[in-house]
Amino acid sequence: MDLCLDDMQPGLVLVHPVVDSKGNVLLGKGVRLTARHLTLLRAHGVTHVDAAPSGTESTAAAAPSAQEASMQIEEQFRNTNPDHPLISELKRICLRRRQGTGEST
Amino acid sequence: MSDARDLIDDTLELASLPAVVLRALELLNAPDSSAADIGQVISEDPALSVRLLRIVNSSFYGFPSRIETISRAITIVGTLEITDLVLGSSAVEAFAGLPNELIEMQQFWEHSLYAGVVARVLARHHRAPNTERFFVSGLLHDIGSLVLYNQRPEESRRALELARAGRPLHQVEQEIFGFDHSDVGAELMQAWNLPDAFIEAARHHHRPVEAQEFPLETAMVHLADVIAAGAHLTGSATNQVPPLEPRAWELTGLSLDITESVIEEADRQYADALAVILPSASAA
Repeated sequence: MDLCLDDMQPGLVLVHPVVDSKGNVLLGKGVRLTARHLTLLRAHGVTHVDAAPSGTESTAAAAPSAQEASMQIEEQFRNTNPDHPLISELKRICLRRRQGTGEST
Repeated sequence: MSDARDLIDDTLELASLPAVVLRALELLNAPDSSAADIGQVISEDPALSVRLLRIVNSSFYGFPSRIETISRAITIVGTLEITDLVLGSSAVEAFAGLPNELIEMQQFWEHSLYAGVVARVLARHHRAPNTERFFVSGLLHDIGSLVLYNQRPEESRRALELARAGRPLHQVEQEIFGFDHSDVGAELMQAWNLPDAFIEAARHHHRPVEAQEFPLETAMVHLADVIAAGAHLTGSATNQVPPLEPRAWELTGLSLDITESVIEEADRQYADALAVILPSASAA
């Protein structure tokens, strides 16, 4: 359910990843919200999140598909050295973050 | 073809550092000045003092007790660190007076701020002294772009279009102007009398192996730029990851395993930094 941040208590679990206006995943799906999370979300200007009590997560996903995210990342990294291990590692991390499956923060 | 320096004179009228900042920088470089002298100068500017105390009391620093005065901030945080923060936050403020029609100021500073935070986190992993210097170097690394957008809007528009079509921005700028945003940023910083470490990191952030005096600072800013462009989307069409210089990564001696934790730590610090360095951003 879509909840206003001001009405929220720590302990709810995110049904969807929280994404800012540019597509950065701030918090991944399934993260149990703490008081610090709520403060950080407010700092990012987030006012509403889709969260539910633990155990009632829906299965719907709003994050881009693996294929979409992967294409987006190839495009974004096209000027870099594809063979460098740091770039491969960065791409792997970005792909996971973009899909919102990471246990971030 | 004119060079990067020609753009600076006009810029200085529009975006200058406040006298108090220049005075603090002078004192920092003067051998016979003390921390108390610098504190005294900063304290004479109430707006700057308030801003600085807000920064050091934020969760970006996370000091357990409240810091009430500038002299206390200097004792706890350090003279060099405080002066760097004064510089960084004043430069961000100075550029509010340098508008452009090409990119969103907000997006520009978000990338810069994220890069600054990544540079700070990398420097901590490297156990480098004065990690604030890395933070401010990262924060200011692209400042020359704002000068270009403001002074040469038509050519800059063309450069941005070519970059969007898939080429590194600094290479396109070299072709169009004969120099790029890193040269312009370094010239501006020189005109502002900023410390040499900032100037060199800005000048060589796309060619870090050319850094002579501050290779580590320059390498860290280069890596921070690459990591920030990848990990933190700003919604800008130039959210392209610039080419990585492998020798910069080797120079830091950092391990690949830390990449993920660096980004996670940067995410946490970024939210805190956003609130104090770019307060207009988080008020949305």
